[in-house]
Amino acid sequence: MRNSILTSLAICLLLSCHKNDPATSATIEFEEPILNDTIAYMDSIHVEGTIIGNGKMNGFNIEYLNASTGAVLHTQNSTDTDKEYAFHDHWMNELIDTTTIAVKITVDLDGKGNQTTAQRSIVCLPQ
Amino acid sequence: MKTISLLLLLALSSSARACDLCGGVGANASLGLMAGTRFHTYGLQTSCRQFNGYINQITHAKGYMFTEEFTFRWQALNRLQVYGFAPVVQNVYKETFDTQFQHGLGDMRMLVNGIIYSRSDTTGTNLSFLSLGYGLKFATGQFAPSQSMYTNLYPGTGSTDQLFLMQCFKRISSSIGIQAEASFALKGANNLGYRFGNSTQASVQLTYNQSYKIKRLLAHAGLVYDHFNSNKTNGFLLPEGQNNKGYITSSKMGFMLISHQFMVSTSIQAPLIQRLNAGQTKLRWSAQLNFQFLIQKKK
Repeated sequence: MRNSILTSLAICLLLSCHKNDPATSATIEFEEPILNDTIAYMDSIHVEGTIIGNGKMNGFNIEYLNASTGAVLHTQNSTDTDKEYAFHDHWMNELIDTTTIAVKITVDLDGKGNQTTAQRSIVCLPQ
Repeated sequence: MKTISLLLLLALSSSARACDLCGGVGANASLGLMAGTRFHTYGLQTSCRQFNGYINQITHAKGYMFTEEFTFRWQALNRLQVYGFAPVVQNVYKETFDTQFQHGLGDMRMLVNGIIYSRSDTTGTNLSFLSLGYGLKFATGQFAPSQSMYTNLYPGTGSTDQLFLMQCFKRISSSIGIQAEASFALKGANNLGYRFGNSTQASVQLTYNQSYKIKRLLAHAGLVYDHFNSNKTNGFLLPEGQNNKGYITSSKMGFMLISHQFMVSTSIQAPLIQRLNAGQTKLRWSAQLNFQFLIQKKK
C-alpha cells in the first residue's frame, strides 16, 4: 500500500514537472526606434521592444551596426533564459559623419546556435 | 487603561507609505492619534517597496525603494502634536543591461495634528475621535537634474508640498475598532518646472487588540486606496505612460507590540487592483517596520 502511494506520488511529480522546451521561433517587435528616424548629434538612440518565443530562449543581444560597413559600433548582451523578453537600451550618437545605423536584435533560441534576428535602420546625423 | 488605549491608536495609525514611485518622498502621510496623552516618541521607520516596469506587459525592470526614516512626535498640547520625518533613501532600478542607483537624504516633512473631537467612557478609554492635520514637505533631498524616466528614482522632488490629513477611530467592542483615514498632498513645482501630480490616499482598517500583562498586541487589516494625478512639466501634462497617473487599491495587514517604553510595528501591503502609468508600472508589494521609543512627560 505504502509503495503504491509513493509510486503514485512519483508519477504525479513527474507529470507535473514543467517542461522547458527550447524555443524554435521567436517574434521580435520594435517599439523604438521608429523606422528611418533621424538622430541628432549627441542625442540618444532609444531602443525598446519585446521578444516572445514559443519556448525557452537562451538570451539575446542588441547590436548597433554601421549599415554600410557592417562594423559593430556598440553591443549589449543578455544571457537570461526566458520565454519572453522586454528590451530597453540607449546609445548616444557621437558619430562624426552622417551614418545609417542598423539596430539588430539577435535571439539565441536554444543555446545550440539556432538564432532569429530583426533589425531597424535609423540615420545618425553629425554635429 | 486610558494610556494604553491611546497608545493603541498611535500604533494603529503608524505612518503609511505613499505608493508613489518617487523615492523618498511620501505622497501622503498618516499620523498617530494620542490626544491627551503624556508621551513623546522618537524612532526609526524602515520601509521597502518593489515596483516593476513593463513593456507590453512583459517585465523589463525591477525597482526597489528603501527608506530609513527618523521620526519624532512631540506632544505640544493636550490635543496638539507635532511630527517630524527625516528620510534617507536608497533606490535601485534594475534593467536588462543597466542598474540605476540613487541614494541620499530625502525630503523632510513636518506635520501638526490636532484632535478636534474625542469621546471617552467612564474609565477614560477613548471610544471615538477625529483629528485633522496639516503638514509641509520641504525640498531637502536631491532631485532629478532633468526630466527622464529616472526622475522618480531620486530621493527628492525639489518641491515644497502641502499635506492635509484626516483620521477617525471608533471602537466597536472592547477589543475591536475601526479606523478610517484620508490624506491629500498638494504638490508644488521644482525649479525646473517639474511638478509631481497631487495625490490622495484613503484607508479603512479593522483592528483587534489583546493585552498580555503590561504589553499589548494589536492586529489590523484593511484596504488602502491611492490615487495619483498626472505629473506636469511647465504646466503641461506629460504624455500617458510617462506621467505616473493612476491608482492602486491594496490590502494591508500588520501587527504591533506596545509596551510603556516602546512600540514595534510591522505591516505588509499587497495590491489588489492597480493601473499606474498606463500599465507600464506596477507595485508588487511594500513592507514596513517601525520602532518607536515612548517618552512619558513629567507631571
